[in-house]
Amino acid sequence: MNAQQLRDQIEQVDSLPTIPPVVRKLLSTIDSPTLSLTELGNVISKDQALTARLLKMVNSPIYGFPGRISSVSQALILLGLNVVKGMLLGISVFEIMEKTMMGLWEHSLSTAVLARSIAMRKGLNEPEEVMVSALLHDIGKVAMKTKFSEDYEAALSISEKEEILIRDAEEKVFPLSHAEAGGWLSKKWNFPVTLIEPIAYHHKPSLAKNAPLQTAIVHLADVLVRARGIGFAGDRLVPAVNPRTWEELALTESDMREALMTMEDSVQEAEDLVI
Amino acid sequence: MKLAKSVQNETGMTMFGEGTVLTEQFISRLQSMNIPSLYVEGTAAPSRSMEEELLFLDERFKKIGEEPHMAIIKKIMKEHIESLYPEHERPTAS
Repeated sequence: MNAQQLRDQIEQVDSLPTIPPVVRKLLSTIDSPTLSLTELGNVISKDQALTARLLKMVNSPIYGFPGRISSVSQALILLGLNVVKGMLLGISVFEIMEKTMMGLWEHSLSTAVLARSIAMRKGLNEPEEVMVSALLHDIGKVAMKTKFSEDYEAALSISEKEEILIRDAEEKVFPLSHAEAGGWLSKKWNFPVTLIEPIAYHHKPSLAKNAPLQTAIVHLADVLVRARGIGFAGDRLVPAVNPRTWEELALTESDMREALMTMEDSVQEAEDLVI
Repeated sequence: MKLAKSVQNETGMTMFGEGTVLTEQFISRLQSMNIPSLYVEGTAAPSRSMEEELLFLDERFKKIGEEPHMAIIKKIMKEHIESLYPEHERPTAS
């Protein structure tokens, strides 16, 4: 298979039955000032199960608005279309994520919580956006496993046998890794570049041109969650941190300790949010 | 130990508010009320022993050689994991 064939297949992943029609529709929507958030809120609200899960998620303490968001349109106004879109996608792929790889949801959620905490420490304006890109950073794994189940299983067993990172094993089987696959998907879903780059470059943060800080944070959060050993992302190894990213983020030891503690506290709470 | 979230009965009525201290009397009342689970304040005790966790930590880092900054990440992680356990379970000399 060549890269184009892989891309064509990956980009069809949103036709999966697990993704509700509302989310599928939303994925093709572009954040624009002409869109009425209230109208959009009404469309989402028609799917009651999804709405309930979304409100449960945005009202949890990890998002910073505990108990204050009572409607989808309010969530859209406070968090923006892209964050809500990303959260709904995260909620929709939760089950398939767990089926794809036991522990991938836990890994993604922990990375999301940690990334938000680091983003807040670095004073970013949109910590929720960083959080959503971290929640979806491994979406390419879900797409690859869904579309090419046997090949992906082969990559998983290579990773285990040869004791190499899953991304290196993927590249032995596929022309590219899950990071590029995730990048294609987020582009197709009209995500802004601030979400696309952290997903596409979470292994190579120096390639990010438009959202270098967001990408750096997701890269570091991924490394730290793997170092902490929460969940399962395809292998049981820690990838090396990009030295320049580490130096540029310049987190102090106490920043890291506090961010890690916030993660421990929130993750337990967040785990039963989507169920 | 205190309740981190209020406890509701089957009809959704709040029985005990957030912050209620869990006394023995309270726990036996809960048992008689058929409450399957509740939230308490603080981080739950980790399911693995600290020794096991630290062994797994070494295992995860085994392919890491001299890559820059990884030693400090490992050190912070080790201390972080240790801090999740009660003091008497931590090593006396570090």
